[in-house]
Amino acid sequence: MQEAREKKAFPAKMELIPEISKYVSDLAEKAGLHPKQVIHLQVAIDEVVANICHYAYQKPPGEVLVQIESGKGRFAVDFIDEGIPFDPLMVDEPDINADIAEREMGGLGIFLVRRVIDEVHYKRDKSKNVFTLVLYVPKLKG
Amino acid sequence: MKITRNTSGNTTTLALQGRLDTVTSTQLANELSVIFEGGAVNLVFDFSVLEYISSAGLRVLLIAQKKVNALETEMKIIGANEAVKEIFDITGFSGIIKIN
Repeated sequence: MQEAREKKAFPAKMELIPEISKYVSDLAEKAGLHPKQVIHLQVAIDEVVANICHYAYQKPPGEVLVQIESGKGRFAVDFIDEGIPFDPLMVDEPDINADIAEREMGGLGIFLVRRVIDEVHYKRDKSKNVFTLVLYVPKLKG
Repeated sequence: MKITRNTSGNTTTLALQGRLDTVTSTQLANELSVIFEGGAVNLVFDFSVLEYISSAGLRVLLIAQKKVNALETEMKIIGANEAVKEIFDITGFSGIIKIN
């Protein structure tokens, strides 16, 4: 597989999610992720960037810096914003066995991200939120 | 995302093409409000050419299911691909929405 480091800043706007998703997906494909993993990544990007657009900036839109590092069997994407501190991983997980009347939607997005992505990390780095998704690149057979 | 609406008798079918995500789920929510304003109907979501669904899309489907339950009509999803079915399974939606 190819080793690569790339980064690009985008305005944190909902309507740019498809563009951000395409930017990351193209690199993910080049890095050798399985098509199913690329779909998982797209689902996760939608949730993570939507979160940043919703919560991170009190006066939207700020920027989201997307930073990619691939190599050594890993494909890692950092989403960095300078909004208010927000750790999505602290959100309570929803009860997915609740029946329809009790079903609550809060936390479902991040719950999905944790289920489809191999590693999910958050850190507050000075004035920045750094949210990282890591996928393991499948080893080529033969 | 492209939504194609087809009504036959008291059943309305919505065929979705593209991605049901944070941006496009509002489009579906608006379409559904128009349908519900028209009265009690059975709903069929044709997901044959839907690429993926995010939690925002799930939220719209859950609201529709609650509305359908209140109106005592029926709702089902047909043709969902493997990726979309996986999301329904992971989130437990397979247990609350009829998926063919």
